[in-house]
Amino acid sequence: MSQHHPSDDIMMEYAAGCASTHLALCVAVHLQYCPRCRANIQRLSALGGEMLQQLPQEDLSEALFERIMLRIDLEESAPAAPQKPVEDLLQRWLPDGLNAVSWRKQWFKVYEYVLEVSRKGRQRLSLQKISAGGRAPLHAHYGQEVTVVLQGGFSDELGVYEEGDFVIRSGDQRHRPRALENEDCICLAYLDAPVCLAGPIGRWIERFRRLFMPDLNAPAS
Amino acid sequence: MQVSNNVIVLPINRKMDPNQQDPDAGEDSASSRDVLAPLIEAVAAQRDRDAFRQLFQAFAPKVKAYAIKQGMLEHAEELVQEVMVNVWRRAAQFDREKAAASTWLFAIARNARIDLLRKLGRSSQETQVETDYLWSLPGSDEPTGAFQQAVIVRNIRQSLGDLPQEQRDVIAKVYLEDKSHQRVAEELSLPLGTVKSRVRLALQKLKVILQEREKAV
Ligand SMILES: [Zn+2]
Repeated sequence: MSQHHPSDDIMMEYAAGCASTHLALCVAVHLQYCPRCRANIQRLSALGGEMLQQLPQEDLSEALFERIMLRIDLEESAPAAPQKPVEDLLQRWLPDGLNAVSWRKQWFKVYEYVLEVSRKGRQRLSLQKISAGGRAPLHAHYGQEVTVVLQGGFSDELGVYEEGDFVIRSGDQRHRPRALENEDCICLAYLDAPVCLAGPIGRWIERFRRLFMPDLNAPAS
Repeated sequence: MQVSNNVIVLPINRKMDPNQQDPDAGEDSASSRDVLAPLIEAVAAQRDRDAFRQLFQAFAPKVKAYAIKQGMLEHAEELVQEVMVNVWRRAAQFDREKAAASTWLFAIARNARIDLLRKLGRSSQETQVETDYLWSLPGSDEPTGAFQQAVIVRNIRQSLGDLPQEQRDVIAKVYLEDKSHQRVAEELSLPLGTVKSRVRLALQKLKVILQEREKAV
């Protein structure tokens, strides 16, 4: 079972449905690995259920029930195909699984595969791979980085993370993730602002990048 | 027994041993909720329209209140419609061994709200993954038993009433007004840490976060 879980406030925002869709995806992927958090989400949803039940009753318009029945009758006469339960949340992007991903090299042993980028490029959902024993450059973030380990494991200045672990690094935490020796590490990563490289060379690259490639939010390789 | 504001509230008329009695026995506020599960089951088993009408009468006015709290005044009845259609569609997935009716209905309402906001283009971020995958309805895990589910709900209901107002307010804003802790902090002009600690205290009192979790952290 994984050892690093979303914080209580993230869990609550998720259960309440006010987490952003990308953060929700990261939490949902963690839940696939973590029965304990699934049980907690269930309780947090029970709390939502109780809050909802305690709301006052609002008057409804006369014909609302009939309108609903009309829609149901229409649907019943032309039933849609039943929705298949999803086995893997990332299936949509990875129909052939993690082994068939066409990685883009970013650094010596560091690879990325972008799933979604927001229009302004500030938010980025991607898969990241560090080959066994490889090390990412020292970096910090302008915003927050959420990582869920899908395969293998990595360590950084603050801890060791294994399959299913949910890790958040905020802008002021510089870190240099390193894959465990025996296996490639693949993570789902959600970044709500670009990466900035740290260290003297990193700072130089960073300044250069911002001058000439303001729209590109991946570190130059 | 709950302790709040230094006052010990003795649960008079409450059955102390949950293994002996129906957890909802003697709970006046629970009576209207007890009917929800059999109504959903009747809709699932017989497509029972009378049961569905009763479910509508009990639940739809609260969904409308929920929509209004969420700032969806013009779309409040649209949300009610989406929620009730989904209740009809998914009634067969309801399993009282896996979740209390109020929990399941909340999940339906929450997902319908997220979907409607996405449809109206009011979501700040979009993703290709469907709402029901991102927020799955309760029921994927092993059944814990209807009794256990009722105990969880009863504990929450009883201790909610004993929460200090300031803790209750924060929870209400997150669940009913779609506000992140960050936004709640801004709105109440409080440091984010204060809001988070209120939530943590409340969740401990409500026994919502499992014990092993606290030991692990
Ligand atoms: Zn967990």
